[in-house]
Amino acid sequence: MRLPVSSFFGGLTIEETGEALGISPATVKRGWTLARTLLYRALRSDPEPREA
Amino acid sequence: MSSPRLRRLEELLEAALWRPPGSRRSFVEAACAGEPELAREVLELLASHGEAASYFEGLAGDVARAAPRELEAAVPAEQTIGPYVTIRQIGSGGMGRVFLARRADGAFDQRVALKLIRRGMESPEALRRFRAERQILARLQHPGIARLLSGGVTEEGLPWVAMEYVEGAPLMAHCEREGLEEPDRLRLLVSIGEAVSFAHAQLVVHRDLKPGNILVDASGCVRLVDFGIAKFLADQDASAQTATRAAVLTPAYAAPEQRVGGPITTAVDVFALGVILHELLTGARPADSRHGSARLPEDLEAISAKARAEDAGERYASVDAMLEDVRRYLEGLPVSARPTPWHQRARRIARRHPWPVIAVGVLSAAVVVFTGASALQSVAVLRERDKAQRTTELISEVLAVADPYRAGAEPLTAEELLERAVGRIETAGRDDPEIEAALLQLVGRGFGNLGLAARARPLLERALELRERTLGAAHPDALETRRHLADVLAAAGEADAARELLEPACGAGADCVTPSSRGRR
Repeated sequence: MRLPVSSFFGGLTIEETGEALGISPATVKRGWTLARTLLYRALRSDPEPREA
Repeated sequence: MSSPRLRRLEELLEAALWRPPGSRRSFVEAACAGEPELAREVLELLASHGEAASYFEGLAGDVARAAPRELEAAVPAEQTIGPYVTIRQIGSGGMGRVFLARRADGAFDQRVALKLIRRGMESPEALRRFRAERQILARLQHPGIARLLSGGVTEEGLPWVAMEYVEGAPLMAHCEREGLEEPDRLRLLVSIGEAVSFAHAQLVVHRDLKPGNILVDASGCVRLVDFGIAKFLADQDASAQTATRAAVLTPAYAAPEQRVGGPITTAVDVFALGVILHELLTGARPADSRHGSARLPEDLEAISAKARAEDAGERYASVDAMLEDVRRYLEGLPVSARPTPWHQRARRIARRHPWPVIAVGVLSAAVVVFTGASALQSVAVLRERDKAQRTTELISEVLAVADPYRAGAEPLTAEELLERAVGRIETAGRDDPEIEAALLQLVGRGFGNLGLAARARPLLERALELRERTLGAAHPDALETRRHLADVLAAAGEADAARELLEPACGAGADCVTPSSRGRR
């Protein structure tokens, strides 16, 4: 299915992204699912100051 | 996180999502047997996966909407226009956009206000006119006018001009902030007018004068911006044969002839100054002010009204003429916009010479003269008009000696004034006892008001004698004189004499009042 994945991929669909990266659309989708979840959690969690 | 691990997470997450929600947990636990850390991580990812999806879906739209606004503000595009490079936009309006700009070559430190005019050049004729216009404007070198430095046309055909960048507050904001009072605001108006007058002498009409175009810099000096640009734009519109009234850039300050596209003369700037005068002092434009809102003093109202006459021919002939009146107002002199009757001029004279007693005296004398004039009106009804005229002239003459408009005027005390009047009464009233009596009463009361009873008494006594002889003791005018004489006697401490004077009058039907019960008039 051709879903516009949003401008995060420069306005490309999953297919187009796959083509551009040389990977299958399924791989793109899988990667994006993980990525956004990780990103979301990182954005939501309070950054804890780390000891230098 | 390492790549292999990421890949494992990817696969596990995807696999789990394939399964129906109820069975995901057991699947993960099974798939991650022996790796509780991994299992926990996958389960956490599963938990927030749904939220993450919707978050990012919405985010794209939000960013798309906000981006143009944010980007423009944060990182303005620098444009090269002529020898300048824009720094940021500082304004925009009907005529185009204004940028703060600097020289591209950094040759001079100067910053300019670069105005990019919205309308392109429509013909070589327009280009030629634009150049000619700039030549004229560049010659406007005056401390009150922001200088035109340079100009040109961009590659896209948009005209631009670079002007001296003025850092200052707009007129009204400055007055607010500094809490300026009337005299200071008027002085600002005079400065504004002087700059406009200078331009008029160079045959340049501003056409768009308004408080927004008038800045006051750090040293409190006014600087006019946007001079003459309006004319260029008006020409553009005319040649483009547009029916728009774009030539009238700010209707509120525009003269009637501007609004209908009629011939533009310096009179339109006079009109605008009239509006600005009103706004400067009341905070509102004449059209916006309502009954009950702050009113101007009469003279200023007259100046503003004259400047704003519908017919251009009725306005001040020049900005200088208007400023003359404003300066006169500031000095407490009468203004040409509101010619004053002579009795009010007397009052003005009193205000200008603030010695305590004398001022009161002159004021009283003026009041006396005023009421005397009224009395004379009734005389004129009885007598021929030219005699009353003559008498009025006498009084004017006497007062005129103190008139500052006459060359070589010396300030007179009220007493001197009245003495001069006495000297003239005999001449003026020679063939007319009624007039003589009226004048004697007039001047007598004047002395009375000054507290000079000794001087007042003989005059009033003679006046009474004349009136009784010519009109009869019961005549209202005779009774009036009787009362005035009584007042003077009472004020001089001769209460008995005063009472004696009034007793016969009571019998004759006059208002029965005792001297003590009369308020001092």
